[in-house]
Amino acid sequence: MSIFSMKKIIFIACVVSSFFSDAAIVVNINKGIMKPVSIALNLFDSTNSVKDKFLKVIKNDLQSTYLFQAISEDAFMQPLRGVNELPKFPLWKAINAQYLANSEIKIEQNKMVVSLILYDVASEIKVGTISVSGDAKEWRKIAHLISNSIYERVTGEKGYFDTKILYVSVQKTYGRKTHRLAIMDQDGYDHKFLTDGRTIVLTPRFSPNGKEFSFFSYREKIVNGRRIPLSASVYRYDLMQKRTELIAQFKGMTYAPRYSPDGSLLIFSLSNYGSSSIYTFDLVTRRTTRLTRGRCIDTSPCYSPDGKYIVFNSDRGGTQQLYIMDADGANIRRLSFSKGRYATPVWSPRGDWIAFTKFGSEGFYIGIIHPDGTGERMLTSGNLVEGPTWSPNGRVVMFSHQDYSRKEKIFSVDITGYNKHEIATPNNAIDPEWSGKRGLF
Amino acid sequence: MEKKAKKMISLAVLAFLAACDSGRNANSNDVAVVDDEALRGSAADFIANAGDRVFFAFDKSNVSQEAEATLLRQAEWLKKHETRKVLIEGHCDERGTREYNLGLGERRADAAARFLIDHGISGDRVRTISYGKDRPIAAQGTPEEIYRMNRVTISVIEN
Repeated sequence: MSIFSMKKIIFIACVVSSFFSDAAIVVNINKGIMKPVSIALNLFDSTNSVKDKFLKVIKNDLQSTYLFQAISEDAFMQPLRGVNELPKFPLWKAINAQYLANSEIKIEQNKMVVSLILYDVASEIKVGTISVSGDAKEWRKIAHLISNSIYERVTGEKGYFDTKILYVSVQKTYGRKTHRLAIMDQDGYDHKFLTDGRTIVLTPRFSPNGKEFSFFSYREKIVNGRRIPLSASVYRYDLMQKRTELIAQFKGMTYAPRYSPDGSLLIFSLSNYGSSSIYTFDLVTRRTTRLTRGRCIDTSPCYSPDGKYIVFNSDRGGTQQLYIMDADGANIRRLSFSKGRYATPVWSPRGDWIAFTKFGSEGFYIGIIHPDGTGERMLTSGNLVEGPTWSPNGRVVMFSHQDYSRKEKIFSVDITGYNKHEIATPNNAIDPEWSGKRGLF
Repeated sequence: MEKKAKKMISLAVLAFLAACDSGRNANSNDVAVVDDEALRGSAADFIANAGDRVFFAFDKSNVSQEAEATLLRQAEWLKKHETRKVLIEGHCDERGTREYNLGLGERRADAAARFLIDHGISGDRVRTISYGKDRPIAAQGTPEEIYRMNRVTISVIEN
């Protein structure tokens, strides 16, 4: 059965009770966190059938943020047998736990119910209670939802552990690069290739509901053993039906696709006669609207989350810079003014930042800037870094990273600039795209 | 007979070099001019006698004098072989961003196509495509290699 089948996702519900608002510790993740919060993850599983793998998922989720450090279960002085058992706080203070997540799993027939009470150990108070239930086969997803809840209680930000990553897997065979679209859970599980590698595929972008994505590819024919390109265009891929479709025939190349926040439009570049301009295509009426003009390269368009504005990349002023315009193409104004070339702007889902690639003689950077042009700063640099994509809560960006040995991998970094690390993929990997919607797979 | 076979081999080698996209500038300046009746008008003949690629400066799409010389030979060749069509592929080096470079590759391919059209070649014999930075030449990333990635390749396509 397909993981994308909606039928499978029946029971999953995440119920979070009201919680005490005077929790003592609030982790402010706007500042770089050098010392992670220590948390004791106590899980009681009367059947003892899923405990270890379930805990492993939660531990991995929380620790991947570098905001949490899970205390080894071997150190527990009071292993709790269910959520009804009250913690003796001195025993948890003794092992330096700042938080205690006391949880239990119940499985009846095929339904799994996980209950959890989160305690602030120093203040000896209950911070929240959580109950998640669902099909036992979906235990991994339930674990991610538990991780989300813990993360949300402690940081005040939305969790993102039940999201997907789309990317382009690159393999070099006999000097030739093979590009395949691939999808995986944000923690690397459930990895799947979606295309066979016969043609180049690039820049996959999720639709807002996560049921499809658009991407750039070529149509080719083989003549006497040689690949002759026929067209280069934007395509859609339906994740439910596993079907690829050309969005429409245009005179010229269409590329750099993205969806509008309501999912009704695709925005992209159309290039011909040496110029690239920005267009929208209405997926329902199939109407095309031109937004920019001129003998320049206008590309990488991206909507603001409210759909009112579009940020894009243009060389209209001589070199690549960032510009913002109204959604109808009016009122174009320049956003980036510093030295260097700016590219691939991506609006944060929260609307407060725009992430970009910057490069010049001194190297490549991933940076962020407020939509009003203030607050510009670089998050990371490298031999070649490009193409940021946001976590749904707007706290983390992933990007393509080519090191000095030309190995290409996806990396992730917090908007604090901390916690830069590689995302494990089977082959070389480029063009990451983080799913915005949660719980739709 | 033996001489002819030799020529055939050298042409085959040239065609192979071009096919691997090795980054060699296969024009008449650095390879022997081959004239063989049997191969006149072929893709290999085009590579050997007109040249199959021109280079551009970083983030530029203007046709250099050196590129003009190659494109002029190509225009002459195409006038001689009126049934032949060409595919023009625009490429960029890796020191840029993927999406912009697709646009830049198209602009370079268009510049080469425009030159051929301005020199008497009908537009329906010239087709362009951009690969941006995603069909790089095999390279370690030396400045010379990066320069050679900023290229347009022109090839005769069999219809």
